[in-house]
Amino acid sequence: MNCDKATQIQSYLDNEMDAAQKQVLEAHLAQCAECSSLLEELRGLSAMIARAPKPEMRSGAMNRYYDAFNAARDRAVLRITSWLTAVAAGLLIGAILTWPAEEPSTTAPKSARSGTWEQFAVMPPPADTQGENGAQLVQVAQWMANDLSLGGGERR
Amino acid sequence: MPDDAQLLRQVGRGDETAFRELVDRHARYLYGIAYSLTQNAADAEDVVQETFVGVLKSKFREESSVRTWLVQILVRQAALLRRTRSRKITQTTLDEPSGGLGKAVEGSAVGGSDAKLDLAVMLEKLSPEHRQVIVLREIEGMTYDEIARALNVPRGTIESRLFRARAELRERFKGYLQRG
Repeated sequence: MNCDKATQIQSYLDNEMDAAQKQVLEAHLAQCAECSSLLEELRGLSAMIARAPKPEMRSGAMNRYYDAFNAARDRAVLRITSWLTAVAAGLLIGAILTWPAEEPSTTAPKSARSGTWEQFAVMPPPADTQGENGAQLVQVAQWMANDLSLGGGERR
Repeated sequence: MPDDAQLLRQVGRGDETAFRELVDRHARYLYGIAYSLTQNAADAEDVVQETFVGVLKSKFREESSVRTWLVQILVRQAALLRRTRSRKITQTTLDEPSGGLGKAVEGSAVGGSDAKLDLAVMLEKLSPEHRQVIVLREIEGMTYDEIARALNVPRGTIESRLFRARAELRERFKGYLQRG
């Protein structure tokens, strides 16, 4: 297209011009064969599209659309459930990571937990634990053996 | 009888009857657009269903008519479906002989100028962007501003897309247009 008004023909066809613009373009159309021809072609194209058979909806389609109501609700429930699961998982992981670490041996006597086997060996057992004395001595012997075999001699 | 905006407010409060009324009013219209955009009945139904799901998830801000808002959701859903499909479609589709993109269709070859061309055939060679504007303007009769809002692009972009899409169709169907 050579005419610089050609791009305005579309706006005229689509009724996107105000009255003044229309008037100017109509005056131009009366003397420009190129633009008149373009307008006719565009009108022909619109008519051809308007004549084209429109697709019909298949039976049962409406029920699918009605079901969208339930589908949306189900998805919302699923989304909330997923969100709650994620929060619960996050809390669980947080709790595991921040939980206070436990002592390695819960069977060790209180007096020995805070010290070494050497301290325990030289301290007399408390009077109220006489009955447990034998078991404690066995435990102390095990610590000594472990400590020495793991390089306890280096400490000296 | 409540208008569309009132129906939407009722739908927002969980009123299923209002939702059904909204479907009754707009489903056929939306299906026509969806079919023109997707060129496929099953895909069109999927897009319309997702549009109605979208109605329940989105908020209508009354910046346009309810119909324009619905078209806006539909166009987005169609684009989403197209992107999903294009990831699945293998290179073979691109390698298929196109039948000549931009090649003119002779009226006599398909039954003369009086024959009604199927809309899908007419629009099949257009790019998705060009198809969108042709469908919304020529079939749905939306204004440039309405199309711009529905597609969320500037009005000038709509005008240039429409101009190029029409030029492509004029070129392709010049046999029909000259005889008509």
